[in-house]
Amino acid sequence: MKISLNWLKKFADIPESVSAQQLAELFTIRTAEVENVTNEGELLHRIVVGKILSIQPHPNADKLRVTQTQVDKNTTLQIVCGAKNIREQMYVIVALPGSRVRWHGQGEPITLEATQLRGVESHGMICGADEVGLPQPDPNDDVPDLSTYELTKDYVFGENEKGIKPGTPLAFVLNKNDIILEIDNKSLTHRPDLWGHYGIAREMAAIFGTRHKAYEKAVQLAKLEKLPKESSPLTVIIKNKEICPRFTACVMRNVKVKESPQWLKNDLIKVGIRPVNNIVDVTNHIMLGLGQPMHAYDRKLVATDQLEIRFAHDGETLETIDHKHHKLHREDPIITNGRIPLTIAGIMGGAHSEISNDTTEIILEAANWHPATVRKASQRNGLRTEAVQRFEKSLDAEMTLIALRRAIALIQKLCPKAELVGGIVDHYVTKIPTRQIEVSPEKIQRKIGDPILLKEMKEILKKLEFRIIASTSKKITIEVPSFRATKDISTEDDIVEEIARMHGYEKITPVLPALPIKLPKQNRQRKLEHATRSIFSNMLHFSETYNYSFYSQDTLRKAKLPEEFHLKIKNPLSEEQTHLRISLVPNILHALHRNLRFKKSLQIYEIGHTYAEEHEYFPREELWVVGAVVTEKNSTRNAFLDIKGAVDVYMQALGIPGDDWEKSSSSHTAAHPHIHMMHRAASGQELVHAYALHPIIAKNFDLQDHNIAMFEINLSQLESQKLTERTYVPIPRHPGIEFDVAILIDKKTPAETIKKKIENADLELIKDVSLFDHYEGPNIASSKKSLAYRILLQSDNRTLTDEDMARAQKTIGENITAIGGTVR
Amino acid sequence: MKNLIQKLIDEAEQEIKASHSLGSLDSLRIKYLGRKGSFTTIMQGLKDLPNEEKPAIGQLLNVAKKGLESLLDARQKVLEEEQIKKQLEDDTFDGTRPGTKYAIGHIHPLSQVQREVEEIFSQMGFAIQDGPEVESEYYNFEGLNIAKDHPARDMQDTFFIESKHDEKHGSMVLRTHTSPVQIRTMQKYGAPLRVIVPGRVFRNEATDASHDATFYQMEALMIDKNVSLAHLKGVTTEFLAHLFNREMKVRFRPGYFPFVEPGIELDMWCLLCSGTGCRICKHTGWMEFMGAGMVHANVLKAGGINPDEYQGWAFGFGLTRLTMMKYGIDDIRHLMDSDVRFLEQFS
Repeated sequence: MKISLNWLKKFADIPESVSAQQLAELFTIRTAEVENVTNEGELLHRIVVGKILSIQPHPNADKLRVTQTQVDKNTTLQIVCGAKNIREQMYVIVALPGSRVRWHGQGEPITLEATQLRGVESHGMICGADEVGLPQPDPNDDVPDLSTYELTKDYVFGENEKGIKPGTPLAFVLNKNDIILEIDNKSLTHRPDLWGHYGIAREMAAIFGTRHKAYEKAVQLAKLEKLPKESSPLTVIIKNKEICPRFTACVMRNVKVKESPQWLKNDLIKVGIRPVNNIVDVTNHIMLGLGQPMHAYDRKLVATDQLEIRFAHDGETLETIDHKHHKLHREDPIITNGRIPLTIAGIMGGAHSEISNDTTEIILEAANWHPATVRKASQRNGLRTEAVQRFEKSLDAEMTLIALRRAIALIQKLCPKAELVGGIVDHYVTKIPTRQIEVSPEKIQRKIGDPILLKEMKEILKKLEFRIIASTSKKITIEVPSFRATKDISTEDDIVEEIARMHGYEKITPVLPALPIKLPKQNRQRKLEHATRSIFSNMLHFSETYNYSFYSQDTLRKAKLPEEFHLKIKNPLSEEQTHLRISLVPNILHALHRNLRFKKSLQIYEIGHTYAEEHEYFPREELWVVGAVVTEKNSTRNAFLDIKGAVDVYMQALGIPGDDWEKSSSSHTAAHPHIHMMHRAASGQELVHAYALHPIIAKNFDLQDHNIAMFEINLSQLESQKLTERTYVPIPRHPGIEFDVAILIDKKTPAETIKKKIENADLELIKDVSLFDHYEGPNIASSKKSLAYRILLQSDNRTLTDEDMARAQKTIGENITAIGGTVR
Repeated sequence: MKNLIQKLIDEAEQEIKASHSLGSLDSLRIKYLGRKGSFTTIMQGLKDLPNEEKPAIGQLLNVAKKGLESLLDARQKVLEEEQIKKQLEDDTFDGTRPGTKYAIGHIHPLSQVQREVEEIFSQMGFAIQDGPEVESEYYNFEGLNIAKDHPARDMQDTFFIESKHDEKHGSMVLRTHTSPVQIRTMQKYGAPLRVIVPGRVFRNEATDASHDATFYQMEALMIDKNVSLAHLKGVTTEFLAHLFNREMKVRFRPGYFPFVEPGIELDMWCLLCSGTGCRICKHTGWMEFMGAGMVHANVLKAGGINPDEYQGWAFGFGLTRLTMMKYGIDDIRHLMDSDVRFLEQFS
């Protein structure tokens, strides 16, 4: 929202010594964020009106001429100029040394200095419009001719400008001597009283501790006692009382609709509002000044002299003044003339009763609307106006009558013949009762944490117009002014905020609270997460990914997941994000697909939540870690064995007890039917799954050309497992013996079985059985495979002999033969 | 005899000195000290000498033998070193070749920043608390003093779950902030309380380079008998100083959130200019960081805590935004799209 400092000064004393920048900073710290400060005059510093007294040709250049230009009462400067349209006695724009101009309107502004042009001294510059950042009035002119005073609408002259003279600062001529503050609207959400210059001025006076005028004293209002005695011809019927806490209106005639006077246009333009005509401009001026939006109707077009306020019926239509047609909804608040809708209340007027140049009689409205109703209607109809921004914040209903009286006075000033027809209609449906709050000074101090004397607290309250009804050292009873009572101030804590911010947040000294020695409660799940990342990323070279919590129906079907366990989003952003995931696998598969365009192999994992419908209110949310390995085609690596090995490291590093891998028959739909192993917890729950990706699932996700395996670990369940602590095992004192065994056996015999047979050959002495080669291929029978094992024999208490080794080898041979294999 | 020995010694010394290869040195060792070596032969002849000569000759022979052995050893050492030196000269291995590429793993930048923040707060005695991502309207809104017709509750900001409604809890939503966990934690543990809550949150907003519907927040809550705005300033200054590893100041500005009163916008010293003003901070000297404030009485009540007995503050900031700021990540979508080329940049 743009605020003009000059406008504020009409209502409050703002110290001259405070710079615009300081003002902005202080307002930001006390009240609301000022995003930008524009000092209009700064840009036109040292640029003045000059009068050309004489023109001579330039001795060294045909296109240049040498002028003697008067730049103030006693000073005439020699200025070289190339403009074609200059003449003697012409008033022009002169930039003096020290000013900032852009050469021919291009590039960064530079500081002007006295110089020589083609050997002739020039002590300034006669400016083109673009050189001083102004729009060009007449394209045929090289430089604007100020003599005529009658430039285009784009140049705004000051209200008090009586005549320009050499030396008149251009800023003054163009009325650009104001400072515009831009306040971030978001920081005014909870301050309905600050949506107009008057409220801001009042707040600034409180901040500076200076005086501000009552609105009635600062501007002219129609005097209540001077109003016509007859009642207004208007009938106002409020059918749905909840929409409209207060409605004031009146009728005026002999109104002449025309362009607003310059000062009025200036005020509007300065703060970013486009002037339309005097009547509309008056309503806008009051909205920007007092903070009360208003509306004006063409009385003749309304025709019935009746205003009805109600909810619309579904299907009623209205064409608004922006010429858009709206189909109304039964929760839209509207004003009708008893027959057809005229306006969407608090939002925008209708084209039907719009003010035009032919209007001679008007109905003025200043009303207060229910905030949520206006807000919802605004969203429903896609109309966000200045009026809506104010009404949705809960405005003070006291402003309505004041605004109406101001409008009457202002219109009479602009159209001296205009007069009221009858008196004012005022339906005050819902008046907010005066609010009193009791506060404890001790509590206020305790919450702020800075010593603030009772005296200062009372001063602050007084500055903010909070009336102190009673006060002791233990309790202050405060009456809240109407303009703060609609929403913002209702509890003791609201007063804490007022005291804290006006005292000054910057005055609070930071204090560190005492630290209890008792350690905070440990988050076991978090420790497990850190360990998981440490193992997979730091030990095992996996990359951690994050994926979205949702996927599409198509995805879950491709992954063959049961749809009934999924929660669905009512208002998803896209078709891809309709279902909440019950498994991390599908999005990991999508991620693999995306990455395989750039990478030939991958190892990734994700730690994330799943959400499963349990037919209770809340879903079951669990934390999982799911990972995938993709190996290059023709690589010697086997993705499944890589995954299995990685999980082995994980289990060992964490000390997860539980038996060895067992073949899984569980219905993990993404898993290969027989390359699927799992770990159970000691209590029997399935903790870990490792599997090769099912070829059908791979195809569904367009991953059929890759060798992919996955693991899934339920961290929520893992958290509750007891992890074994590591204990030291004494290093063997006697050397062991290693020997190799090569076995030829049927392909179908599981490695597990063979290993067990070898181990059983000597349960006491065989300490390690390690498969180091696995061969299937053309050098051996097609139904067979060749395995090579390294066996470690070791005794805890004696050195082994050749007999031990021979015996072990013999028994191994027998065991292997017994299952149909041959030892080579 | 003595002369013979001496002659042998001289001869051996000369030959040893002249030897240029380990092989020839070996031969010399055999020649003189081997089983059939000249020296060995003489030593064997010792027994044929007259008895009175044996001790003197014997000793002479011993000394000579030791001398020869040490000469041989010394020469061996020299030749061995020369051999190594020669090997070094011939060695053409190029040390500027790149080192072996180890496969390393990567931890996601969000995980790293989250952990860093958690560690700082743990040191200040804060417990880490987690909560569900799927929440009820009650915990996400009403409990936090966000009324039914509050703008934030419109369909446009919140994701709603289909077919879920409950008398008390209302509809089901994806949490729009981590604040619901404040209430859950208060209900579970009561006061005094000192917790942080990191987590994934969801907003129904169009996604672009700076906004994603899924992102991460970090919440903090501190409640006790006398916890004040001064403590808020102290803790946040300390936290930010540690996080950015530099001197730090914070400032409060009035702000508005339904769940706190007073409500604060907290800015920190511009990381580039430390309060003096620069292009980065639009010459204000400050950077916006987060929202905060004193926990609203209604929120304390929802948590089962008596607002007349206890008071406290809460704050929340965007962990995603902080992570992007820390690493200079220019597109938020990188954080969620699992592109390994992005993830590999972080260890």
